[in-house]
Order: sequence, then C-alpha cells, then structure tokens
Amino acid sequence: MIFKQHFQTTRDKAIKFTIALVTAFIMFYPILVVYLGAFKSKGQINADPFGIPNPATLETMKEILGVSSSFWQMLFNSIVITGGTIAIVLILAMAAGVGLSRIQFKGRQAVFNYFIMGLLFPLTVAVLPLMLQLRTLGLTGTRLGVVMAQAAFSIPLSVFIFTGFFKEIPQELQDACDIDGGTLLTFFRHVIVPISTPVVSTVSILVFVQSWNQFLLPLLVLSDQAHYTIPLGVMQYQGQFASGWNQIMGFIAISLLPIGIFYFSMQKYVIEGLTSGAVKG
Amino acid sequence: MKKAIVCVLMVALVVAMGMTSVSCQKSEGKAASAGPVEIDWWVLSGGAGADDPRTEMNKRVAAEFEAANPNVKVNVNVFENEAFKQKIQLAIQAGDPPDLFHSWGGGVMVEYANQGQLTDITDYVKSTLSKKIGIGALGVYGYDGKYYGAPYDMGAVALWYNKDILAEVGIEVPKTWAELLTAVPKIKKAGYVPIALGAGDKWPAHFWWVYLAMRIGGIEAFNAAYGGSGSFKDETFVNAGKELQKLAMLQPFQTGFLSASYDDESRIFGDGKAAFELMGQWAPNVQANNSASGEGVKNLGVTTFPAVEGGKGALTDVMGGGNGYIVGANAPKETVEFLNYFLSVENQKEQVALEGIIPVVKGAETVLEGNTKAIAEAVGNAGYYQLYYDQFLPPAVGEAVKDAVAALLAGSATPAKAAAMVDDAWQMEK
Amino acid sequence: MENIKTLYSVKKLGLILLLIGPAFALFTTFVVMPVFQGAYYSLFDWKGIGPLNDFVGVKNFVRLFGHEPFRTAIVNNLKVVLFSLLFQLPTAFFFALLIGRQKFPGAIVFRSFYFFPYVLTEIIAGVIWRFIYNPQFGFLTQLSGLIGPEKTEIAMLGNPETAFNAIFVVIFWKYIGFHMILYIAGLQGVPKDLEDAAVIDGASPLEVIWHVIIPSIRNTIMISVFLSVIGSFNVFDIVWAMGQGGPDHSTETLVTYLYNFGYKRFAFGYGSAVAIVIFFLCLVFNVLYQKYIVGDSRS
Repeated sequence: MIFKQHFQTTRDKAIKFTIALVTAFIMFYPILVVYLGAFKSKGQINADPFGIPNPATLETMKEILGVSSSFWQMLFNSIVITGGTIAIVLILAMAAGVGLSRIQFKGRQAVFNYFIMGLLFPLTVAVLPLMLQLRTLGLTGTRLGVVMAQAAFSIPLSVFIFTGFFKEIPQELQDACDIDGGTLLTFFRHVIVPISTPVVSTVSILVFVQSWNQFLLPLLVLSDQAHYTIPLGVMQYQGQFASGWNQIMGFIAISLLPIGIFYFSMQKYVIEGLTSGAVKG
Repeated sequence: MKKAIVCVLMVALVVAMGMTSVSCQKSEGKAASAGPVEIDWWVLSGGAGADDPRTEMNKRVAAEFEAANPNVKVNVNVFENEAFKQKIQLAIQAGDPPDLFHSWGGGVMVEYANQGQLTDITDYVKSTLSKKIGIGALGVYGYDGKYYGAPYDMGAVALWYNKDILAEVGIEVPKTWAELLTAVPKIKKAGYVPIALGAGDKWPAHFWWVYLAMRIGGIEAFNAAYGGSGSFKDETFVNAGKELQKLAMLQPFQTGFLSASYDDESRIFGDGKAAFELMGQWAPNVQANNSASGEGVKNLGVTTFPAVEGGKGALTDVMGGGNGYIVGANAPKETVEFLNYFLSVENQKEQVALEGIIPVVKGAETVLEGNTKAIAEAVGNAGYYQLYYDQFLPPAVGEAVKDAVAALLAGSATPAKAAAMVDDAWQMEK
Repeated sequence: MENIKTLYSVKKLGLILLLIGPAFALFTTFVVMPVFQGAYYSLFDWKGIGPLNDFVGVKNFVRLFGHEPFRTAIVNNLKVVLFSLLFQLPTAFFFALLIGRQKFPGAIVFRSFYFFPYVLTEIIAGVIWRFIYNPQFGFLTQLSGLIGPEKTEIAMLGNPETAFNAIFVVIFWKYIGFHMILYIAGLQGVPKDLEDAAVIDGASPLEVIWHVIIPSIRNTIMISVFLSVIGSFNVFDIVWAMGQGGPDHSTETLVTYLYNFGYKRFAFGYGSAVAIVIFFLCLVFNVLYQKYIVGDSRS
C-alpha cells in the first residue's frame, strides 16, 4: 500500500515534470528558431529553416555586427529612453501614491479615479492628438518627447499600484512620525523608502517592459535615425529591400540579447516584483 | 536585493538627467546657430543595414552640398518603406512636414498640397529643372499647373518572366490575356508557381486590376470615371474584376499569397520558383537582394502586360510611376537648390547602378542596358502613361482600390462589388 | 487656533500639490487632453489639419457601425476576450498549480521560460512568428512533410478563415506567462492549513482547487481578468505585425481598424470616432466589473 502510494506519487511527479518540460520547450521554441537561424547561411536557412545549423557559420553575425555599428547607438537610445521613463514614472507616481494614500482631503477619491480612468485608454488610440500636443511643446523629433509621452501613459497603472501599496501601511506608523515632531518627509524617509523595494521593482519592471518594447510612439516621434531604438532598428532592418532570413534572424538574435540578459540575470527580482505588486493591487 | 534596486534607480536617474542635458544642449545648439540653414531630408532606405549603399550615397551627396554651401546643413533621415508611409502621414497631419521628402507624386501628393503642407516650386521647375528633366516625368509631381517636386526615377510596371521556366514548360511569352490564362495550368503542372504575388502588402495586387482596366477600357474609361462622365462602376472596371477573378480561379499564385509581403513575392521569384511577376522597374534589384540562390534572376525577361481580347487599350499604354522628392511647407529656399544638385547626371548614373532606377535627367540614360533599357523605352513610347492608382487617386480612394482587389482575390467580393467599393470611395472624396 | 488651522491647511494644500501635482500635470497634458481633443474631433469630418468646420455630428459613428470591417473588428475583439477568459487564463492557472507550488524541481527555471515571451518585443515576436507560419517553408509545412505522404504548403495567415486563429496562438503564447505569474503569486497566499484540512476531510484534488484555492485567490483572478479584458480590447502590435489586419480585413481589431481606416485614409474625425468607441467599451466593462465583480466579492 505504502509502496503503491509512493509509486503513484513518483509517477505523478514524472508526468508533471514531463508536461512542464514539454511546455517549456514549446514556449521557448520560437526563440530557439531565431538563434538557430542566426548561425546559418542564406542557402542553409532556405533549405532547412528549422534544423540545426550544419555547419554553423559565424558569417552572418559578423556581417551584422560589422555593418550595424548603429546597433550600439540604438542600444544606447533604448537604454536612455527606458531609463528616463522609469525615473520619471517612479518619482511622480510614487509621490502621487503617497499623496493619495496618506493624506486625507476632500476629492481624494475623485483624483484617484481620474488617474485610473487612464487605464482604459491605450496610447495607440490617442496617437494623433498626442502628436499635436508634442508639437505644440516642441518635443517632436526628440527622445525627451518619447519619454514624456511614455511616462504619462504609464502613470495610471503606477499610481494605482503605489496607492494600493502605501494604503497598507498602518496609520500608527505615520502618527508616530507626526508625534515625534516629524513631517510627512520623515515618514517618507523612515517608513516608506525602506519598505518600498518590492513595489518599486514592480513598477520599474512593468514600465521597463512597456517602454523597451514600445514601437509605435518612437516610430512616430523620432525622425533622426541616430535616435532610433532597438524595435525601430529591427523594423528598419527587415525593410523594403530586406536581406535574407538568416540576416533578419541574426539581427533579431542580437537585438534580443540586452533584454534577455537583463531578464535572465534579474529574473528573480522581475518575477518577485511583478507578483508582490500585483497581489496587493 | 535592496541594493540592486537602488543601483538600478540611480542608474536610471543619472541616465535621465544625462538625457535631459543632451536634449537641452541640442535645442540650445539649434537656437544659437540661427546662422546655418537646416534642410530635413527624408529618404527611403535600401534596407541593407547601416552600410546600405543608397544611404551612403545620399549622405555623401548631402555632405558635398554642405561643403559647397557652408551655411546649409542637410539632415538625412532614412526610413524603411512601410515605416515611412506611417510617419509621413502623421507628420503631414500634425502640420509638421519635413523640408524635402520622398514621394510617388499623384493624388497623395495633391492631398498634401491641398492641406497647405507643400511649397509651390513651379517657378524653379520651369526655370531650372525642366531644362534637364522631361516635362512628362515632372508632370507626376505637378497638379493643376503647379509643381511641388521632381522625380529621380520614372519607370513602368511590367511583366517579368523567368526564361528558363518558360523554356522548360515550353510556352511562349504571352502576348494576350488568354495566352497567359492557358499558360498557368501548364506551369503548375511542371511544378512551378505561375505567378508570385505579395497580396499582403496590397499594392502589388492592385497592379493586376489596374492593368486589366487599362487594357480593357483604355484611357477613355479612366478619364470618364475620373472626370465624372462615367464612374468606377462602369463595365470596364467590372470586367477587369471578372478577368482577374478568372485568373484567381486557376490558383496561379503561391500558397498563402494573401498574407505574403512584397519581400516574399520577390524571394520566390528570385529563387527561380515562379514564372511571372508583375512589378516595377526596381524588381530585378529586389529579386537579387532577396533570393538565396539567385536562380530566378539569371535569365530574366520582361514584357508588357498582355492585351485583353476586344479591349480598347493599346499595348503601349503603360502603368508606372517613379520615385522623387517633394518640398514641404516652410522649407528654406535652399531646398530646391539641393534638389537640383541631387539631380545631376553623375548621381543619376550612380543610382542606376545602386538601385536600378530609370533615370530622368537627360544624359544619364546612356548607362541603361538590357531589361531596364526596355522599360525606359516603354515609358518613352507610352501613348497613355497611367500613374499607379494607389498614388494617383486621393489616399482614401487608393486604399479603397487596394482593399477591393484584396477582397476580389480573397473571394469575398464579386467584380461588381469591388468596382462599387472603389466608386463609393471616389464619390465621397470628389 | 483659527490661524494655525489655516496655516495647517495651506501647508497641507501645498503638500498635496507638491506630491500629486506633477503626476497630475503630466497625465493631464499627455493623456487626458489628447483623449478629449480626440472626442471632439470625432464629431467632425476632418482630415487632420486645417480648420474644424465640417461638423457632422454623430455621422461618423453611424458610418462606423454600418461598415463591415468594423463589425469584423468588434467581433474579433470579443473573440479575443472570450478566448482569453476561456482558454488562456485557465491554462495559465493550470501551469501556476503545476510549477508554482510546493517543491517542484526546477520551478524557477520553468517559470522564467514560461514568462519570457511576455518581455519580448511585440514587433520582434511578429517577425519570428511570420517566419514560423511561412507557407513555403514554415513549421506547419515542414510538419506536414514529416507526417503525411508529401509536403503540403499550409498558409494559416494567408487564409481569411484561419488567420485569426493563427494570431490567437501568438497572443496565447505571448501573454500566458504574465497571468501565470499573477496566479503563482496569488497561490503563495493560500493558507496551507485550510488546504490540508480539506485533504484530510477526503476532498479530491479538484475539490480542493474549486473550494479552497480558487476562493482564496479570488482577488488575483479578478485582477487577471480585468487586465486581460482591457488588454484584449486594445490589442494592436501583435496583430499589426502579423498582417496589418489582413488578409481582406479578416484579422482586423478595433485599433488596427482605427489605423487602416482613420490615419491611413486621412479620415481623422472618423478615426477619432473609433477611439471613442474603444474607450466607451472599456468604460462599460469597467463599470460592470466594478458593480458586479468587485461589488460581489465585497459583500
């Protein structure tokens, strides 16, 4: 009996593990296709698009890295734009979150709802009026314009998450700061900052993923190729008079490296950040 | 963990500050240097990454012009084709056109002009550019007696064919539509794709319908519809749909052509898997770039679109178009001088070599040979030269034509409905 | 005393302005104002530039609902919603149960592999999947050669009947990891003793899931549903990258429709009307969600 139970659980585990393994392979397969393709010649990829490169050639990669010195420029732009967006969102949304959760005032719920309304409106549908707005402010063609617009559209979710998180802090802690003659600033420094790590990482990661992958907005705002981000570069590369699939795959393979490295080295934080924030919300 | 986050934050902050200062510097630089005139020039890429020869050439020409005119700075902005179409539309709608930008002329350009987004350069065209470029080619960039730009390339859409496949299957180059229709099953039987088509991008497919309408109804049918005495619901356009439907019934295109891109189309033809491709003068260049084996470009032939029995159109009637640049509103006056500089015989010859254009500047055509020469001659001999509908007609109508042809090919619209779709859009726009 | 109070409230007002003001300003300038401008434009026949003088009232909306591709777009969006709720979220929940609990060997590795598509750029995902779906040499075509007697070219994206299903697969693949992560997080909060008690009472695994686990992660499920529905109404990048709403408008969604029939045709008033419809649909959902789902759980 005991033996049977043991046997069953082992078998159960084996089945579960196999399911997990197969799924992982399926989920990762498209990425695998990219990396296999990147090491093939033009003839190879046409003859055998999904097989293992035989022989593997570094020619494609060399060509791309040699040709696309612009890749480094694009990487820099992506980092600058994403970094800027994260910084602005964190500062503004965190402050607003504190204001909306820790200060009692008339119309607080209304202001909160006002921000939340933005959740219902994606960037895509407001693109033209947004362009007009950016032009009025003289921000078309600049990276700052992309940053401001992206940050603005990230505000609703971030304010939502921060407010929810800060609401959980017991009022006594805040009162204690007040009694000690401190202000909200003290409270901010001694209570909020030390406990905010998870929520800050949640928001950073959400904004990071959105901003890094954003295609439409930078496409419409930026015109100088020297300002192009990585997604724009991929589009540019597989353009009108595109080269072979091996080169497109090679270019994508390289483009995926920064986010891949970031993700797999930080994945513990990425996932913890996402989970802690989302559950609170 | 905390440390890591703090670090990330610090980096983000520093980067953000760095960026603001960069952008500040830039705007200061712009304000302080009120002296040099800046020309924003939007060009299409050749898609070969940073070392794209077309981009290199454009940058070199810009640098030469800057050297000769120290007070001018030419900013070369390179875009991929589809991205350009999205961007220019937004820029125009936002009232912020670049100074000099790519255009296929026609109704789309007229729309920009109607919205006050272009500079009228008629005087300069008449005094200077018309001396080296034929008035016919310039006409594509003009409307109602006014000119807004100039072409650098003017060609025709023609039927490209793979000589090897035709020889292997044992068929002649089709002179009539019926011959093409009878050739299709034979080519299929031999294991080749009769016609490569990238209908996902829509514009390659609309060529077929427009050429059929031209062969069936000639210039009169189009003029009647365009002028208002007839309509796009006329027999000619319905019959064009019927003929196209006949072709589609034979399933002459590669599997999945409805979602295929133009790149897919040229790849299939370039790899020697398809017998025909209906495409413009740039086709050989793109076929060669996209193919792995190059089989399809070894023995390339070109012919005019076949005649339709009983049709009023002549075989010499040509649909085509070109590439050129138009001048945006508020462009500095030096822009036209730069355009003139760009349109030199030497530059045109270089463009022939780099991207297979059909040059428009007199004296550059001497470098043409073979197929491209044949196309240049077809353009020269054309009795009726029709610019692609999707560029000639206003944008909403051009889109409707492409949609109608896609619906026809997908089998969701009858020839009559397709014609009605076009006419509805046209009536709304008129 | 009165003085102190005023002083206090001035100080408080300043503090509120300082904390909330900047976010409020940024949000208002770049989100709210453009949205309201768009709403206003939707009442005009306007090409995006020049004076707004061709007032057409609700004509744009009337035209919209009479247009077949628009109806296809709405139906497609509803399909995405349904498909996500019926297949994507339950599958995500299944994987969360599979690898997110107790000691599953290599859980972290699996988690990161399942989640990776979510961080991938949509436009890049589109290029990769178009390669996989390529009718001439794509995965399905190769597979048909291995399984069947001879290779048949399979064109999922090129067939209006199957194109949207092909896109579903990509949406499924791209976003399932996100919901799985939400559920894994929720599962951490399920009280272990409750679960054990149920097992001792002889409840089957399914009963445990239904009566213990699901009620305890109700909040998480609600968030996941909310994000999934709002996201489904606004799906754009993936669909665009897979075929711009084609072939023959069969994969059109509301946002691609806005692009194809608004911006591309210089019909900006018309495009704005589409934007308003999207906003309205999300708003209606939000109201229903707040009233019936959130409200229900509170009682």
